Formats: sequence, C-alpha cells, structure tokens
Amino acid sequence: MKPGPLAFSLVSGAVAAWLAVACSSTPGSTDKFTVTGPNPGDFSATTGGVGPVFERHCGSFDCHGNPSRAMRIYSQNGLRLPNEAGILPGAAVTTPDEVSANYRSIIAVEPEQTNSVTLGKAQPDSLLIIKKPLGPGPGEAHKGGTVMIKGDDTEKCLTGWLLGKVDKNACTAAAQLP
Amino acid sequence: MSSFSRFAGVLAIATFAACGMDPVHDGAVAAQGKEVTGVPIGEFHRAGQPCVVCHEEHGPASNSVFSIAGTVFAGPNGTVGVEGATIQMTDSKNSKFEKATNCVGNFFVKPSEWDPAFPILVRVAKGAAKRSMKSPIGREPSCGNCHARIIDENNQYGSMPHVYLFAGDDPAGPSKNCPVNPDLGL
Ligand code: HEC
Ligand code: HEC
Repeated sequence: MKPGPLAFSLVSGAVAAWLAVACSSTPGSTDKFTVTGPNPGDFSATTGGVGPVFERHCGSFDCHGNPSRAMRIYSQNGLRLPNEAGILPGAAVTTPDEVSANYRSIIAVEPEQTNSVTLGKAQPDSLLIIKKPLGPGPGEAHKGGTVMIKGDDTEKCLTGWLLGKVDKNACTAAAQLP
Repeated sequence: MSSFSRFAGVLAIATFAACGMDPVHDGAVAAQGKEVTGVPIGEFHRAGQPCVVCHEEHGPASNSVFSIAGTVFAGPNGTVGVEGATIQMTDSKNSKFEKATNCVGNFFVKPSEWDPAFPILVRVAKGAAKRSMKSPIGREPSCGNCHARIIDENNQYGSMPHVYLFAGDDPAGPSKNCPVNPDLGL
C-alpha cells in the first residue's frame, strides 16, 4: 500500500498506517512525516476492538463527539460523519468511514510520539491519549476529568493496543454499555 | 442560531468566565429568546430549552443553579409535556437520584439535592413506559443542549430530537390542572 496524505486503508486490515503531515513552513511542500500507527485491524475489530472503547468513553456530544474539540470521535451514539445515507445519531452502527476517521483523529493528536510508541521507542503513558483520561495526578489536567483509572479495562485495552498486544477481553468489557 | 452552535457556546463558558466577560455565553443566553407571554418565570417556563445555559453560576439565573435539568415531551412529534415522568439518574460513583417532571414536563435538580460526579446515565419512565439513553452524558447538565427542539441540516449530525417517552400521546393525556398550557404548540 502506498502511503499518501491522510490516506490509508483501515478496512483492509493493513497493520501499519501512515499519516502524512505537510511541512507547515513551506506551503505546497511535499515533505512528509510518516507515522506507523498502532494496529488498525485491532482498532476496527467489531468484537474486542479498540475503536468502540473510544466511542463509549470519549464520544458523547458534550465531549469528543463534537466538531469544536480535538480528537473528534464519530459513533452510533454520538456525532455522525455527514453522509448521504441519512444516518443520524442513535441510529445505524458506527460506519467504516467513521471508524477510519476516528483512528486518524486519535493518531493525529500526537503523530510523532505515537510513531515512537508504536515502534517501541517510548511508553504508552507518554501519550496524551493515555495521560488525559487518567486526569491530574497519574496523568495530566483534562477538561473532561478523570475517566480512566490505571489497571481498569479501558486503560488495559488502550495500553495493550499501543504495545502491540491488545487485550480483547479488556476492550470488550470497556466498550460495554449499561 | 442552530442549537449546535448554542451548544458550542455553552461549552466555552468555563474558558471565558474567569475574565468576567463572556460574549459567547451572552449569545447562548440571548439565543433562547424572550419569556413567553402568559407563562410566569419559574418552574413551568422555557420547556424544551437548555435550562442550565441560564441556571448556572455565571448565567442570568445564577441564584437558582441546577446540576441537571430538562423537559420530557410525550411523543416524537408535537410538544406536549409529560407530567409525572421520572428521570432516573446514576452517576459515575453509582450514586442514584430520581426526579419527577412537573405538568409541562420540566424537571430540575439543585446541587443541594444531588451534585453528580459525571459521566451520568439517564432513564425516563412513567408507568410501564421506559426509555433509556444508552450512552453516558459526559458533563452537560442540560438535556436540551443535545436534544434540540428543531433538527435540521445545521445540527442533525450532532444533536438528538427532543426527549420523549411515548410513541405518540401520553395515554394519561396532558395535565388537566396545569397553571400553564402543557402543549407548547410547536
Ligand atoms: C434564558 C434563560 C433561562 C432559561 C433557558 C431557563 N430559565 Fe428558568 N429562570 C431564568 C430566570 C432569569 C429566572 C428568575 C431568576 C431566578 O429565579 O434565578 C428563572 C427562574 C426559574 C425558576 C424559579 C427559581 C427560584 O428559585 O425561584 C425555576 C424553577 C426555573 N427557572 C426552571 C427552569 C427550567 C426547568 C428551565 C428549562 C426547561 C429553565 N428554567 C430555563 C432564566 C432561564
Ligand atoms: C451529551 C448529549 C446528551 C445529553 C446532555 C442528553 N442526551 Fe439523551 N441522548 C443523547 C444521544 C446521542 C442519544 C442517542 C444514543 C443513546 O441512546 O445513547 C440520546 C438518547 C436519549 C434517550 C433515548 C431515546 C430513544 O428514542 O430511545 C432518552 C430517553 C434520553 N436521551 C433522555 C435524556 C435526558 C432525560 C437527558 C437530560 C437528563 C438527556 N437525554 C441528555 C445525547 C444526550
């Protein structure tokens, strides 16, 4: 698969993903930074996937299911990617396009650092996607407060995924709706 | 203004509030429009609106702050309030609280009654009728900031229709001895 600006195949289950970040100082520059992201197949898996955990814990309209906020998350029970099919919040399951957009927006929070973590050069807890939900103390200040605790299913799911050995049971448990 | 931009406005409150001046919040308050003639300012007013835009520390109703508030309508179409529906809420520390709607379908919770640790889960019930919200509410205290009275091309991907309990009318019918008309007629 040939990497391209913000283009990669997630649905096909490719293991490496590339995110091209155009050099900001030179408009029109073709310089690219290539990111190897954590396994997109584990992200998009319908059972034990990591994507549904982000949807469940981060994706409400008043949090990351909101176009005005970073790390935008689309989901069945939250914000929908504009579509021609008439799919609205609370209706059809999260679409492949939405899953793919979520994956990219999660990587895009810190492309370089995510790359380092995926390549084993840094620890998952160096990433904002781990520090923010942990909140102040174990993590860092987060407008949405503490929404994950070290050792809980959500943390196990996310950390395992970033380390390349996803814990599907933890992800399934963390994605559970009441 | 679309209710989605109102929503975005509300979320900006915390950022601006410290400066003592908040044009975004002022806009969100103004967007709710004037009081309706014949409906006194109080528990029956502004059914369906995002109550806590005003009923918060920096809003025009700062002397009656609510931790959660909203309105339950009978069906998906029309705007007849449901009296005596119960809002059953559970917070992230498993603390539970229930509040009943008044005769226009409005309900409100004061922090002295219940000050939940978000995220919270909600369910609406009356008799055998029940409707649960599957996903949690992250931090938004007004049902009406996500459940808009009007859904159109501006907000359809980021808002839900108004909160309702029945497929059509409330089998018990609208309240008969309500001081104001429980049908907004919208
Ligand atoms: C546009 C602003 C605004 C909105 C929206 C709004 N209110 Fe109010 N409300 C006020 C003001 C102003 C008062 C009078 C000042 C006060 O009592 O704090 C008031 C008074 C009240 C009171 C009487 C409070 C008391 O202690 O006497 C209740 C109860 C109330 N509102 C409920 C609601 C509910 C429920 C909603 C949503 C369905 C709502 N309000 C929406 C501005 C608003
Ligand atoms: C942060 C945005 C948000 C807030 C705030 C919110 N809701 Fe919801 N609500 C949703 C979304 C999105 C859905 C559809 C997905 C789901 O069920 O989780 C929904 C669905 C529902 C449903 C189920 C609808 C159906 O047809 O089965 C009910 C009932 C409901 N909400 C009631 C409430 C009440 C009552 C409040 C206020 C206490 C409230 N909601 C506040 C976003 C919100």
